[in-house]
Amino acid sequence: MWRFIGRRLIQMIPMLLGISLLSFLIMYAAPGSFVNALKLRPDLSPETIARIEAQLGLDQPVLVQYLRWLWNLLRLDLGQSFTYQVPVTYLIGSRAVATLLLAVSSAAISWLLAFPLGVYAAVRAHTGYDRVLTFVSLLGLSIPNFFLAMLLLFAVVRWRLPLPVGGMTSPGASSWSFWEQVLDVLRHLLIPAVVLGTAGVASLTRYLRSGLLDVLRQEYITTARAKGLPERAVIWRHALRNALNVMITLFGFELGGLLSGAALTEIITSWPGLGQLILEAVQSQDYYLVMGSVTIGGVMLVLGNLIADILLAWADPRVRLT
Amino acid sequence: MRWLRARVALAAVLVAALWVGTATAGVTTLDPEVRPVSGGKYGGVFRYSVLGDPKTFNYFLAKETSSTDILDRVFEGLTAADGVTTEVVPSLAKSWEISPDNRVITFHLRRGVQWHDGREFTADDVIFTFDLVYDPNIPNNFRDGLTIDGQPLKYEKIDDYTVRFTLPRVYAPILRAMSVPIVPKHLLHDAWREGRFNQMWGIDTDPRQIVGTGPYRMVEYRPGERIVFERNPNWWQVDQDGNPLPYIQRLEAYVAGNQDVQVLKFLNNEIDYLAPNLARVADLELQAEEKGFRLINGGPAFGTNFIVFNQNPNTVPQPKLSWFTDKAFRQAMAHALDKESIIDLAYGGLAQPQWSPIEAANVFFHKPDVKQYPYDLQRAQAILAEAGYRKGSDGRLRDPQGNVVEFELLTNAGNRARETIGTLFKADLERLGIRVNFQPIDFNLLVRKLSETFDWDAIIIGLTGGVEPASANNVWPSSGALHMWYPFQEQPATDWEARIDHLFEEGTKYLDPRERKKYYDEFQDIVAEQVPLLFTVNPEAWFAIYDYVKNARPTAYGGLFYQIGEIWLER
Amino acid sequence: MQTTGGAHAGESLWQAGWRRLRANRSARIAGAILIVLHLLAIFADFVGPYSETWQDRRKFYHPPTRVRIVDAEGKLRWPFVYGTELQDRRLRTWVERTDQIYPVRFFVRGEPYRLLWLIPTDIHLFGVEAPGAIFLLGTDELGRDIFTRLLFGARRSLFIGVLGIVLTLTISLLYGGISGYFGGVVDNVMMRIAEVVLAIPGLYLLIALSALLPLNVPSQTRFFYIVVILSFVGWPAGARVVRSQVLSIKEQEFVLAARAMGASHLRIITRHILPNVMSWAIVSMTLSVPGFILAESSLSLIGVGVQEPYASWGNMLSRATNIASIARFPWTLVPGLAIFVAVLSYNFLGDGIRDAFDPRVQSPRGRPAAWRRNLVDRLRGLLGLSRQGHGDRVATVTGGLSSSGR
Repeated sequence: MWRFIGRRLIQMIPMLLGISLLSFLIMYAAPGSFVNALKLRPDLSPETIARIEAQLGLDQPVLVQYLRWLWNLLRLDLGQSFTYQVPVTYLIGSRAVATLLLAVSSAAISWLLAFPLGVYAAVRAHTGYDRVLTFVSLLGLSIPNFFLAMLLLFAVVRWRLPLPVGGMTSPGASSWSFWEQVLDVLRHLLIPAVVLGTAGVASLTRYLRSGLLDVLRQEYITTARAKGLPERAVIWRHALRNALNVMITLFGFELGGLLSGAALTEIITSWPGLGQLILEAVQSQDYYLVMGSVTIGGVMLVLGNLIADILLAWADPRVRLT
Repeated sequence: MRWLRARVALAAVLVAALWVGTATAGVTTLDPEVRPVSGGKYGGVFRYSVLGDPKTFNYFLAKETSSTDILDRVFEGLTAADGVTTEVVPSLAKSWEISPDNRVITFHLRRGVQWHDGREFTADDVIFTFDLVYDPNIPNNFRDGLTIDGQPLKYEKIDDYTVRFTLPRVYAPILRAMSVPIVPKHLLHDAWREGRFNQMWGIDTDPRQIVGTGPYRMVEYRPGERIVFERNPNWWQVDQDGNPLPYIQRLEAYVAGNQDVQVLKFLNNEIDYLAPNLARVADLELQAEEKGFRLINGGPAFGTNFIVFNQNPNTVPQPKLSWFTDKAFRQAMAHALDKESIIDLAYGGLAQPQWSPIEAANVFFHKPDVKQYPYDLQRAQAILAEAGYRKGSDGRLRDPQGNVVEFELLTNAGNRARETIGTLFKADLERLGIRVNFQPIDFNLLVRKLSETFDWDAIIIGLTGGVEPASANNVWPSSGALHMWYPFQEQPATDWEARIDHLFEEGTKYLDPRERKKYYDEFQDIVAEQVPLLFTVNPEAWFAIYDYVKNARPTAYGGLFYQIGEIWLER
Repeated sequence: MQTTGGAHAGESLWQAGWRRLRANRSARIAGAILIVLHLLAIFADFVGPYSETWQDRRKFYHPPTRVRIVDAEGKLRWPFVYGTELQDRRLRTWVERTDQIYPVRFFVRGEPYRLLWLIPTDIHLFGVEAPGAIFLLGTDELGRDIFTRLLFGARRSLFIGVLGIVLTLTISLLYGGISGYFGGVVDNVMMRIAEVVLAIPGLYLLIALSALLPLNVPSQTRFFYIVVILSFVGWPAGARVVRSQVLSIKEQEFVLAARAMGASHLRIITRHILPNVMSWAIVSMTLSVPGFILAESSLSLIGVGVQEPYASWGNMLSRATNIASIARFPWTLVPGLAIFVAVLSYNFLGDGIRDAFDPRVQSPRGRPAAWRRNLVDRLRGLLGLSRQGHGDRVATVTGGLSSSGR
């Protein structure tokens, strides 16, 4: 198993190189650079702008810029953001927790909703119930996230719901008790997590449903039934086991998808996550910030898949690590 | 012997006491400024919203308003601008004298002003700040405004509270440029000497370390969420009864993702004040009475949007060049611009047509009676016909040489107002027989075209404005980088551009604004006649503020924060 | 191919699947809705009374015009609309003028266009005489008819989905097919490359690629580029699924038999492997279209999607996502409803296709009790089936991820 892990980690290196090179090239190929926005300011002379450019190293040839970044990466230095002039690691670190929180809670909501929907849809497969449940699971997906987020915020104000309009914490919360702070964050988390969570319910329901259908059809189910186990126990236990399988596999991708976050939802709900940060970075061609986040995203994807594979091997004896 | 030793000991004790005494005596403001306000309630938290995070806490490296809006609470300059009259007023300098030849300015600093960490503000800080301004390794916004004909100012410390500046020549805008924020030498000098200044005071710095002289200092920064300020108890402005301002104890600025969310936060009373997007004002008005806030019209604002035709002979092919350089063509285009509809569709009816390059908000320099071009397609048709442009039988307009008139109109994608302008303009020109290919494009591409490749036909773009006409001195002089229709000219291409060069040159040579006004008046008339830029409209500045915020008098120029020290909350 | 429990004698897989699909009521309804939407999109210029860019700048934010058959005096009439007048300039409220009656006419002359992009004509399905106006769904912030623009927007939003998925699928099939078939080093390298592209977050890739678009392109070409870019983000996931399917199929007996008989690579791929992948391919296609439609709306919000003045559901919706529209002009939100309906329909259709064509899935109609009763029968039919291993489980999972709508 350690060989397996080792091999995967080694395979990660060329992949990270590939990711960083690809993202660098794409951004570099776009016309203009970070200093573009400055060129339209009447109070900045061309000399000042040229000086800024030199300071950021943007006047060097492409390859030099990339190699310099790579060299720093080897020393675990992701460089400095052009926009903020602070280390990329600080920027990502200051927002990673918020995005993690949002990802976990939206996944939790997806699961909480998808589980009963998927199980009932499987048990009543191909009937009217099935269709209705599928319809319900599709609701969150069929409305664009940013639109749903705006509608919900509007509803908060219109119907005076006791929820905040955006943000992650209330002012003065740092002086509250621990549990009060937790509750505060949860209140702020509700709308963005619901928006993202409902979007993921549909596909999750589908997997759970088809996975459960698969399982229910197999022989050992009839054996269990023949043994006299109540129908409920049969279904729920196997549904759970199957769900575990799916959850582990998806976990790998969830972790990797953390960084892309849900930028638009975060922007509308003012959730201080990575999504908004990186979106602005891409738009303003803040190379190091984008590449830093893409690289970290790549690492998390590989690690996530690795952990998922190991867990899956441990949970399901039929699976072998190759 | 014993009594000698006792006396020495006593003397020593007295000296020590004196020394300790003076050290802890503290700094007291000897030159306060008395503001026309009194009776305000102390305390409270004032909450507002900002659209983006600050990118740095180092004012010299700040390049955008998301940073400077925050830092403006913390730092001050020698001079400031009055939020109502827009005139230059004393700030950290309590007074100044100008030599008879107008080239030497001596500033007398306010005595007893404290930095937020208790140390005293002196001339050393001013000298240090100007060292930073002129340091070629620190790319900052202030240097260009403090450089006259390519030369820096000479500055010297006369004593702890007096600084003298010597200008290479008379330069009227200099007093306004003295609003450059003064930063503390005792905290930044060492880093500067070691070449680390550009790494200082990034957003990863503890906000309490950002020390200025302003009414508030930062105490908390949560990235993506909020910035919290605390009142400076030793500020140098006082009310009529001698009580130190500001009244409000804390400021909280919340980061919001877009303007609609800001409106929702305001309606939910999560913030106390908002400068709303004009299209939202009507919705706010509907709820104002019920929720207990009011909407204030601050008058027309600064900043312009205009359409510019490319007259650059190096990059514009014929026959387009002949159209764009033809004054009659441009004047006809001006008549085809439906400003009333732009006001209704893009600004919710809350804007005024703009005819002069100097905005109406610039009350002193604006010339209201320049040539205007009312929306009149028939007049446009007539002017075109007179200049030899005729509509063919296929409905397309042709120039005197028979070429079909059509061109490309660009603007940056995502800017609703500009997209509206483009759509309307295109539809109107269609009726004149001119086919316009209107395309919103990526902002970076647009900038590249405007500043590097110069390969465009017509662009809708805008510029930020200011009170000082000379602040646009890379736009109007023909050698300027932002002289958009034909930048970087070595020699003025036309007579009128040469005349504008001359006017801008002369306009800074007089300190008396009334003298200067003559030059800028002529400038406005020339621009209105030649229409190198088709100005559109000036939006009004509206403010929404809850009734419990007292003494709030926001203006288009100063916003609300010019008088942040003078408002208080009554809940 | 395996026979499946429930297949009728003498039926091919396709015929069996088709029959099952037709029996699925929700899939039938979804399919009908989609056909109608696509037809409306094709004939948008005919069905819509105005053109895409037509605007009356004085009538912006006009509410939907009511078509009446009973006039103010209670008389029954041929369908008509009243003229309207602006009541409050700032608040944009309108009143109907009962003295101005405009009958609704059919096959009227209106803005000229080319029917099916070929035949120049100016006949529209319905309309009223100027200065009357028939805004079935009101107007937007620039005074343009939303109903007409919705139809034109369908062209962009729906066809982005269709074209995009065809492109993605083609690339996925080719790439994954080659990679899976040849295996070994080729497979390794190709999959690593796919993973690299997959690892870059979608939204940022879209924005970064959008900045590469050449500038002076007409909007049609730009539209095509957007489709290409969206496909570029989607193909790695599909390629991986195809590859794992190919991997498992190529070890099966009939393939080995074909090889033993000396069939060429190409013949094997086209005759044996790809058809087996096709069922997955069709299902995946249908289920991925919503992802494209939703991605287009996200792009529009940021400003890199279909540009003004052309309409797409995404850019219409993003312009309507503001307080004024939600509170006072809710008819501008109709594009959201259109997206909703299209996404739902594609999902139901896709589910229906998958249920109909997936040989493992039975179609027991009726109550769960009946299903249980038939279970033993069906199990016997299933005995020939191999167990699904880890690879396939992952394959199923990744295949559908692109439709999770993030």
